[in-house]
Amino acid sequence: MDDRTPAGDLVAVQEALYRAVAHEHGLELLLNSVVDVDGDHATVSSVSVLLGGDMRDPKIVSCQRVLDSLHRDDHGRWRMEARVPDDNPRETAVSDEVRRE
Amino acid sequence: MSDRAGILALLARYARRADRLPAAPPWSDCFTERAVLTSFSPRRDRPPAVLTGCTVIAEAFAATAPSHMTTHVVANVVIEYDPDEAEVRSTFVRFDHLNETTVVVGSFGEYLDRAVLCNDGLWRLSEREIHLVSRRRPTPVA
Repeated sequence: MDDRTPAGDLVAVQEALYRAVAHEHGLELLLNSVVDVDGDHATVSSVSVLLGGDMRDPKIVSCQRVLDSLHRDDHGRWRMEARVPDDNPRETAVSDEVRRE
Repeated sequence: MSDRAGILALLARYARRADRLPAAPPWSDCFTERAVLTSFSPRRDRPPAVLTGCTVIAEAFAATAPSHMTTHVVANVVIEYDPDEAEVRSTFVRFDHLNETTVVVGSFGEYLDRAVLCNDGLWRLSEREIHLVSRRRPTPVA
């Protein structure tokens, strides 16, 4: 992380990412996020825990490390650009129960 | 303490109280006296449960607390500020510790909150909407 990055930028990047990750089925928690801001570009490395299942049977669908990239538009708002896996295979786990389904 | 830090501390106090941790702060450190709690069932055809007042909320939580240990995790916190108030949106998951070796996802959903900065310097919830997406069926008692 750039030591000169204002704390407000870090929060703005994270909040823009949280707004962008709404899922149609289930919800996603982003944990242990590390934000790196470089001018109008930012990356966020997080642990993504995707929750799903039906309304009476909640499950963890996946747990993996992800790398999100965002850019700041002309109005100063951060926008999500892309997500790529940021996996160490040993850190990735998918519920066997969900995998069978 | 910054407003953001104060609001994050409020969310942590709520989780600690809900999980009934030793030395957890009282509900009166989480809710204003006239707070309104609205809980939406995963079943959208059911009307939400509405509780008004910190005392009523605390009594309802005590009456419906599960017998097993729980752990609330709150993440993805987004805060919009007004003067001395804030609108807070977050995502939560509750883990249920059914016994010493079995932990399952008990429920998950979203919190939509209105928080206010009180005279004693603590942020408290004046409104909380709990939007449950999924909740595990209660484990039958043998």
